[in-house]
Amino acid sequence: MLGTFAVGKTSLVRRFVESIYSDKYHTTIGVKIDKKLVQLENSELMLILWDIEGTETEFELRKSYLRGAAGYLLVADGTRQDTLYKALALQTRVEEIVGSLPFLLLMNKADLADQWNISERETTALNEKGWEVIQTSAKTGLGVEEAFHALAKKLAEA
Amino acid sequence: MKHLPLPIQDFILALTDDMLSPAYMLVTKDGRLIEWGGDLESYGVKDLEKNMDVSEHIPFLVGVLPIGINSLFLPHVQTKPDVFAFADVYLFTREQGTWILFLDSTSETAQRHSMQQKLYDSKLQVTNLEREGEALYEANAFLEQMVSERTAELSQTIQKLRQQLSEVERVRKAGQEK
Repeated sequence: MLGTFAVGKTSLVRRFVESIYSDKYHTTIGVKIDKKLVQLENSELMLILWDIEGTETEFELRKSYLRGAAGYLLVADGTRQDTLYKALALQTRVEEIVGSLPFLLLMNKADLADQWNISERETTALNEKGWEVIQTSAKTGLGVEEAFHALAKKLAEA
Repeated sequence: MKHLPLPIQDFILALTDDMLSPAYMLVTKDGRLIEWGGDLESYGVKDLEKNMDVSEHIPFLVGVLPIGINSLFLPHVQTKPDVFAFADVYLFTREQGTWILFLDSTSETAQRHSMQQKLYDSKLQVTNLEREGEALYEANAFLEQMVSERTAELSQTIQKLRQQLSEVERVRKAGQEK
């Protein structure tokens, strides 16, 4: 799970693994590791999820946390436009460190539609680049299962 | 530490043991357990058996072994789910195999957590204030537009009324003259 601070990485993992959501923001230090078995069409896959602390810039991302990564979810907060730009910068940085890996971009906090600050034009441009973008809400659960399953599917196909 | 007198070396070792609770595992390059020691249970690692695949037992080692390089440092790894317990984990390869060293970093993590939480809470507050400021600015611009439109409407109405009034006055004077 990669993205700048307070975009909802930990909340997405908790929603996916434990079906729990809390409104209170707790910053993550270091890395928290969780796992969940995902059922695919003809197989199953154990996802080991590294919930990595959010940094303000892509250069603060610790390389060793990416060691052995098979793929990743980039997370942005749809109500804070700068978090999308930080996710884009992180993606470039990750590719520099570990090369090309399967990933998806999650536009989180979809429940806060009235505060949405990212235009359709921006997401369409990413789609045109071949990026898979999914709107999620750790609060309501919208798109969460779908996002992790989509990543698992990409990993199984890679 | 070889340049330090023995009592100081012993003191530092005792201090390290007390503050950092070192624990270790030695594994083959492909992750088979050779030996282990220290209080690994405090890091959530238990039920170990010789020759077991440690990556099947310790989730954060999946994909990490073999480390392929001389050493790897994983700071602040939360070693037990839902427990505020953290370890700095060092992996390094020597001729015996790969050593995995756990050092307790819970108190350092707690300090960082407290500072980082305050910093990020403040940044989020600033973002919210900026957002509210923008909303106020937009609301103000909308109100100014409304006032300006209404003022124009009123001016037109007053103008019309004045015209009507002077017409009435003109008709009244014409009547008097007759």
